[in-house]
Amino acid sequence: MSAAVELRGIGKSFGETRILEEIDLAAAQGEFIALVGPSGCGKSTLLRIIAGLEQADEGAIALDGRDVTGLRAADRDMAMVFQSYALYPHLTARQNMMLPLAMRRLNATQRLPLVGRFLGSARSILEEMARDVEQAAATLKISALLDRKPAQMSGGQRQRVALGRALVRRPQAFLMDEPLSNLDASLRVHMRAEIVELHRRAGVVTIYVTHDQEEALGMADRVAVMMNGRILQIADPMTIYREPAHLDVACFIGSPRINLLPLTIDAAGRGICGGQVLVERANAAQGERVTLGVRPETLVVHAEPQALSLKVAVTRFEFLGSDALLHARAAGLDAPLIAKLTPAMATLLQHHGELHVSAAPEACLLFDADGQRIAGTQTSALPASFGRASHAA
Amino acid sequence: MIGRLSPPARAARLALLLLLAGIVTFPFLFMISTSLKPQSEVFASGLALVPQHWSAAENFAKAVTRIPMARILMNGVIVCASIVVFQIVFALPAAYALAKLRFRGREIVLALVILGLLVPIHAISIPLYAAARSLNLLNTLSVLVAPFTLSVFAIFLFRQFIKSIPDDLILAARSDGLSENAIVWRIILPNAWPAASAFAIFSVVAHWNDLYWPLISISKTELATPPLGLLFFRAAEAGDDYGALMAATVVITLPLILFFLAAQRLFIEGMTMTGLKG
Repeated sequence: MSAAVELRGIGKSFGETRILEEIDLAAAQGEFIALVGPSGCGKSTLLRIIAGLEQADEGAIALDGRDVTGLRAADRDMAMVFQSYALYPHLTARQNMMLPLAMRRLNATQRLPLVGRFLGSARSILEEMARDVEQAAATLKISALLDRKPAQMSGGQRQRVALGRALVRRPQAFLMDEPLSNLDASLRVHMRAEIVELHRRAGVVTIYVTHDQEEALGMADRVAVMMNGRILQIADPMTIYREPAHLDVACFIGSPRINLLPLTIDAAGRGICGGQVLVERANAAQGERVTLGVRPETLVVHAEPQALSLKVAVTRFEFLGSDALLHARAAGLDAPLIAKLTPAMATLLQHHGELHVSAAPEACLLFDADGQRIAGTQTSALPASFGRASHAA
Repeated sequence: MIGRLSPPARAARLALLLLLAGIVTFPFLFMISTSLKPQSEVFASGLALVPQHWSAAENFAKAVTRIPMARILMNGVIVCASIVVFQIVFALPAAYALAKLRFRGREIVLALVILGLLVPIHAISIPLYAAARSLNLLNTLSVLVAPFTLSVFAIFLFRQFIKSIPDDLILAARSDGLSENAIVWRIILPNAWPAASAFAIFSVVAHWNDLYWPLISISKTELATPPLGLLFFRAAEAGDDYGALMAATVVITLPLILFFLAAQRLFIEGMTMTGLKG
């Protein structure tokens, strides 16, 4: 079976600025793919290119194996949901949802005002459209809102109508451009679940653009992390989080942010930070600049110095209910280190001014000077094969 | 804003506004007053606004019978309505293209539109007259409409308004399957009502009151627009019956004032109709 949406070598420039570079992406039937990245990384432009609202300079787009590169948005049979909802302000919710149906199911003369409805089979088509709108509205629980105009609705209600307008058409693909970012936090979490549920029920490939990594990890089957017009990594959420292919991916995904420690490599291939050996075998040449990344929850905190640990000065403890954060500084490091602890552990340690942190070897993520992940990282505490195996898993 | 001014300052401002309003409306009051007076009182010295002897019926009867007043008013309505409709029909797609579409030469076209704003009708009236004559259009209603169907002012005004419509709305319309043409009429036009009614006020006022072009192109009384009709009326009445003349003036001004008030209310309603943003 061919991919539902396939992009090959998409490139785009606005004037001198390169917006997208060599984008390849294949979404399987029914898959939910999140495009995530900081603002300005080109993710919205990419979505518009997929929708046919923007033309790519290079590359090809196929929908169910059919090349649609040159086709207008109207001929691509994809439905888009916008961040600003983009509801037609002069039409009621019902009319908003009817319009895309009218454009597809009625011919030009049947769409004429007043006389159109009496031409040919227009009447039965209109009745069917009305039924479809009612059905989509029932799915989204907006039946009571159908005769209101957008100005008379709350943000969440407008969002539902916008989803309804996309849903009612039964398109081949849903494209969503930060659909939740204008909602307040609690509604956002709620709508997340609803969109996932809608996607599951419709069984249609969904490409979802967001700058919120939590949204991307929580909703998508696969996450594509974009930076500076390129897809740095595309993988399932767990892999993206645990095995980031690039330093930028590691930094962008995860909250609180991953801890970064610059390492110098000595003659024995050990990674050293602040005069302390942190990584026993770094798989890098002597003198190379290597960055060690450790997630806050994998940073282990000790009261006493240990092998492969680094001394840090405690800045403060932050209690967040279910867990607690330790903010600390290591001598010679600009960025503070953050460790995620259980509240019990934090209570135990909170009177210490000085602590020691280390990272389990399988939790150490090493990146070279270009930010590329260095494979096969390990320490002497474990057999060499263990380190490799844990990364391959 | 008003609440922050001190009472004396407010009073002073109000007085100034009243004075200016009085100066502006005085000619209208005088026009109405004269239209109610008999011939003898019109030339009496002094500025009495209320006539001593009422001859309103007489003056207005003359105004509507000596010239085909109904016909003339109808001409005005047909001409002004046609002009406004054509102007919007032609200007809106152009304005949409200039505001929202990217194409080569857009800036040059826009510059030409703005340049077009600087060309007065008087500068091109001779070529227009020559063209109308060779097309045998002189002394028709068409000649009153045709030169004004393309308004660069409308293009410019609508462009500025359409630029404020969010791009997402247009992108949504495209992905909903609307053609560019359908976007203009189904999405832009309904949302551009405030601009359209503001423009309609300008356009109707200008063309209802226009004397220059009708005077050049029309010589038959039954094709006259209201101001030209007034001129014919004055010629027919030898120009000394000011009471009747003012009565005729009142008759042709009244529809315009009523239109203005109605359009103004629409205009304000349009301005408060928001809801584009989330």
